[in-house]
Amino acid sequence: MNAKCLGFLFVFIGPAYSETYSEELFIKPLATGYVYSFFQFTVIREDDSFKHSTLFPHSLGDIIDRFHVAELNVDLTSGLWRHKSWGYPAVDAPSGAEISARFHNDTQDVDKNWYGLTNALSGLLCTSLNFINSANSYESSSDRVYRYSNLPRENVCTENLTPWKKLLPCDSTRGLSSLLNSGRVHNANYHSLGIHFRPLCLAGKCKYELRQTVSLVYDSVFISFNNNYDWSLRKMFGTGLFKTCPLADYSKIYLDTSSNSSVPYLISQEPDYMLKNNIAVYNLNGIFHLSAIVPRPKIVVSELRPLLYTDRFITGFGQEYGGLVTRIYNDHKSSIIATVIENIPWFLPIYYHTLKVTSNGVRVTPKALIYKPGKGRVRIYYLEIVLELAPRSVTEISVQFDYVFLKWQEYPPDANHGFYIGSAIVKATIPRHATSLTFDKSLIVDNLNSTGSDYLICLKTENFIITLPTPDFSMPYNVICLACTVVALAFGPIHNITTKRLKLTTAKYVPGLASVAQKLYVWLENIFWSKKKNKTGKAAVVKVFVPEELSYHPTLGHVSEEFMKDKVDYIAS
Amino acid sequence: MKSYFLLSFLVCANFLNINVCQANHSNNWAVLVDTSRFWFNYRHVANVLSIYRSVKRLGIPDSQIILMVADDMACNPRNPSPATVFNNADQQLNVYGDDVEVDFRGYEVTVENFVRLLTGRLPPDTPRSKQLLTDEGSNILIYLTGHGGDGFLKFQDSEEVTSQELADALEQMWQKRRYHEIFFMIDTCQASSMYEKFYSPNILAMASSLVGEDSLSHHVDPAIGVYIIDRYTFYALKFLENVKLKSRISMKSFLGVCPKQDCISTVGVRIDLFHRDLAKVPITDFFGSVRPVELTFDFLDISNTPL
Amino acid sequence: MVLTPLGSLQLIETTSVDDIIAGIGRNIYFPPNTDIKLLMDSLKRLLQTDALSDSMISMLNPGNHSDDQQVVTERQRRVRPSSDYNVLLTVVNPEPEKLHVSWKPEIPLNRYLQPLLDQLKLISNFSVQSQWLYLIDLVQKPPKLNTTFVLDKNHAQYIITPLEKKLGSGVSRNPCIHFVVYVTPCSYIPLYFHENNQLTTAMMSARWGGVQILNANEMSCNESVSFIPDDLSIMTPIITQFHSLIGVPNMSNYMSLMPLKSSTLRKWQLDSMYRLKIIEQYTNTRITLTSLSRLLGEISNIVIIEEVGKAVTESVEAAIKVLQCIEKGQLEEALEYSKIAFETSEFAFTHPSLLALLYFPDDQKYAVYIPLFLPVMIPVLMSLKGVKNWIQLKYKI
Repeated sequence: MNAKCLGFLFVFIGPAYSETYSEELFIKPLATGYVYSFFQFTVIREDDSFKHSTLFPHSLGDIIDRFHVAELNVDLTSGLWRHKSWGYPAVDAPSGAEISARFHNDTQDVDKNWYGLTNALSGLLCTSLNFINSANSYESSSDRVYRYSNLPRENVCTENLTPWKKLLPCDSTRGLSSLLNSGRVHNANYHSLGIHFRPLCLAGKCKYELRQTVSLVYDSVFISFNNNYDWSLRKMFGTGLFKTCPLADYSKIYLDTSSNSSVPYLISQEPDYMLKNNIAVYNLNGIFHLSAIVPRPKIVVSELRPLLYTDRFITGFGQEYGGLVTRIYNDHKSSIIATVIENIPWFLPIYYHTLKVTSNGVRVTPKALIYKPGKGRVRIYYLEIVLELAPRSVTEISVQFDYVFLKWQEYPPDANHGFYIGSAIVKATIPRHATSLTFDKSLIVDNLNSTGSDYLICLKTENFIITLPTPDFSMPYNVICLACTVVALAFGPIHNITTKRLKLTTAKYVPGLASVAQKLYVWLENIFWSKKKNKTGKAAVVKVFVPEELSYHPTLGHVSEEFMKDKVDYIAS
Repeated sequence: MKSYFLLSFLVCANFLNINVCQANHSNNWAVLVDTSRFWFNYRHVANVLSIYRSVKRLGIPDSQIILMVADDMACNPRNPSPATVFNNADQQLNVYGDDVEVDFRGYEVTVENFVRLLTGRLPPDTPRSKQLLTDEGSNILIYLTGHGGDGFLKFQDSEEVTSQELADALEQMWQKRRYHEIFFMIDTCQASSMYEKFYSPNILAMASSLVGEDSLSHHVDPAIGVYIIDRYTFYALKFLENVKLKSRISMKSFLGVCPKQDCISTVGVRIDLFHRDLAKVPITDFFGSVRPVELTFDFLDISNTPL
Repeated sequence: MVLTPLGSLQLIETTSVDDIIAGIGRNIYFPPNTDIKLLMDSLKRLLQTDALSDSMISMLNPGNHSDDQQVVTERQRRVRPSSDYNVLLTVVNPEPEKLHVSWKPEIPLNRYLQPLLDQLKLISNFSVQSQWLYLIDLVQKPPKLNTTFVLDKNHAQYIITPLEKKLGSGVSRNPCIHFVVYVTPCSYIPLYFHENNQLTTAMMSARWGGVQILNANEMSCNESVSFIPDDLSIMTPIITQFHSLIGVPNMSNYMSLMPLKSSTLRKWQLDSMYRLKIIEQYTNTRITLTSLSRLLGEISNIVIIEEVGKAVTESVEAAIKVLQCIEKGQLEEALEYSKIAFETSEFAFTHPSLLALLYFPDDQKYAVYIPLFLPVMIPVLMSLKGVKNWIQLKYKI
């Protein structure tokens, strides 16, 4: 028995002693029947070179080494996190792909590394991160080596989850990651995959932390089938937990039972211990199952609203002008300093003079404002505003923009679908006690225990979709045809004028309808008799004169003598 | 020691006994392309994923499969069962699977990227998983599906690759020794027009329909609301599902897949550029991958390597 | 004794040997009564004339090759020329909960592999990396033969593909040479590869890398004591396979070699590596440039930007210099130039700018010209009648 324990100890430490791995799952029933589950797989290593690794994923380490990455955040998200009713998530990510990286300070060509990094990640995670270029990424105003970009159109599916799972030491065979089945993950109301790498430095000594996260929000009404708010691991993930990952230092499940006070519910398992009175902790070692029977409440009890939340929309109508409005709600009793970063793509040129910041309808001046105008096809419009949000106020930032025509090649194949505009970022420091949970430490357990004064939150607003004026894509061929026809029509008369000679002939003039009838008759006669009869027959209405037969008329030029005779007669009479 | 002499001797290019015979291939690659966007083209994604599933099952690793899918059907909001693509209305076979890696997706699927991929002229930052790193020993399976016409295949409903462009791209691959043999498969309307202009050697081509014919879809799934697979690929997948890793089914029997009463269109085949006897070419020469291995018996003695 | 210069061989007739023996430096020792034909044959082997011409011919005319099977196999085994490689050692422990392996790969890699890579630095740069993977099962269930489990060669070839998808080398920029050390699961100890009644722990796949089985002692499985493998026994197959994969000539079948007992190369081996690389890179350059020029000839409206033009010129110049250097016997310089020629020609051929969708097929031309010329032609054709009349008038009347 002793020897076995010793063995387990060895196993938990892992083959090399510089890397540690842990798996955690945090479950929190949200108001209105949603269940939030947050997976976190953390590797911490001491070595700063990633050439040799035991638990750290080699392919990611290779990228980090090659592009001098000091800090990296990648999130692939589908769905919208509703701050107002769900509170703050562990990792706030906008819909689509979001990536930010900080490079080492001695990096020479940051942009080159940035594009290299995004390309490499696009191969690693099967995303279209290679679409990131100077026209959709920005560098921080204060940090030369920081780059950020988001691709709101990016969809997330199994092809992203598969390589993401391959980065885990236990892959998806053991432990908490075996709960992540693609069919269930992508059936969630909100799902977000994340890779977060950062150095943790303390007194000059650095460790490197890699957190792989998954956030899932399930609607328990939808998964329980019995119109209650029941949920269980099997209902959410389609499977129970059978084996723990032998490489993990510890695997734990935390259940936030704080909503138990408003809606009492039954949990199938007694927790191993409680943290802070309301977090039930389960140590995983073997088969584990967890379910909760939650009666549907008669009255929907809304949770405490978060202190700070946002709202974003476009205004205006038509396809010429529009406006962009971002609202920040501060429900706190004291004022909060917040930084708002808007990155607006170049195809929505904004008018800086229309920028208006109001607080409860009263115009205010921001504490600081950085504006970098965009440039067509090259640079986004970057707006960074530092605001002091008054207590219990609604602050509104609005700006006007134009819809522009793109070049022919710049329209995507489904241009009529619309163009996505990425989210704005709101950063603020709020008191730590104001939110029930904080997530800035390495492990969830540290976060649950954490005490401190301030907590930095980073809110991502909604994405939205706009319709740019879209041409008819069969147009170029139409234009070719039209232009050619115009040229041809113009060519006909010009050709006739320049190559043909005008001449006068005698014709019996019959006014009115008779003339048309006569022409028609002559024309038909030409057609029908031309073959049967001699060409010199009736059809030969026009006589061609040789030059000698012509004589000069003062106004008409050369005319036939016959004609002259008539004219002379006329003049004479 | 009696004497010594110095021999300054370099490349001695006396061409020794050189004979001409066909060497076998050393690795297998697959380029699988779906060129259609939009939900109603669900069947084209199902087509390409059917072939993807087969080649993967038969042993081509993901690193040697270039999968191009122009739209996301699996996680499309209109898909009633997310993260699945079925080849059949009875939903027995999820061709999307649990382990899939798409290399080019969405807007990345363009004629330009496709031709760049084949000719190896991708931007220098492109990761290796998105490159076709073939050599003179590579057998390549190229499968295309989408909407096409006489002499062209549409990409994303906005541009098209012509048969001449494709033939030129393959010739450039041949010139650069980028393949050993190619099996070209295409499921689109008037599909055989796409291979008629090929002029490079060692290409075996197969098309779902002849010029003047349409390729038809197989059946509709009322739950999904659209046609879910094309006839030719449906029967090809049915055939491939019965192929095992070690089975010796020949290419000749594969070329007979989907006769006219099943396909409604006539399956076109071009064999004049291919010089092997098709009855003797195992289907796993293109759809499978077996690495040639050798066991090492004689080891070097490195025991005295200094510390 | 004089110092033998690079690329040359010193033949030493001495009574202290009974057979032709290749030394560690650039010396060949032979006994006085050696048949001159035998000596010439050995020299040809040593200088790899067959391999060099085979490598050239097979590249220039695909399908042609030498009929010495060993030469062909060796060529097909060699990795493709590249200026950088990654060498990735992966240790797979399928049962980390049962067996704890205590091994740090970087130490033996540094000791055994690094000196060899330093020797090869003129040829390519190698970057050595290592990783651990866990919980990957053997796809093939090995049968038990007497007291050992064996994987037949025909079954063994199917274990590489499932392994490969976990190795994760797709994002690295350079071609990767893989070495996998597979720790046998406790229930299959001891496990060996098997072919023709011979057992071994190592297997190699051409141009890819090697796999070896590491059998832990059963004690570590049963008693939860961590297993400490022997560096040398793991590194011996790796070094042997690495030699084959990069194309170090194997002469042990033809003549006796003076024992070196080190992972590094004998000087004459390094010389033949140089020759091989020069030939490979030079021939590759030739093919690339020829096909580029043919491409430009076929597609006349291709745009050549200055960068590509410069690369082509540079490549041609370097290729010419390769030939000059070879004639003078300057191997190192020739290698350097062949590397430049190879890289610049690849750069030129694969330059993204060469492919700006320049094809404009005929049917599309008609689509543009017909709407223009058809209506324009109507008045022109009509006026022909007038011309005819005019001519008739002028000459008949």
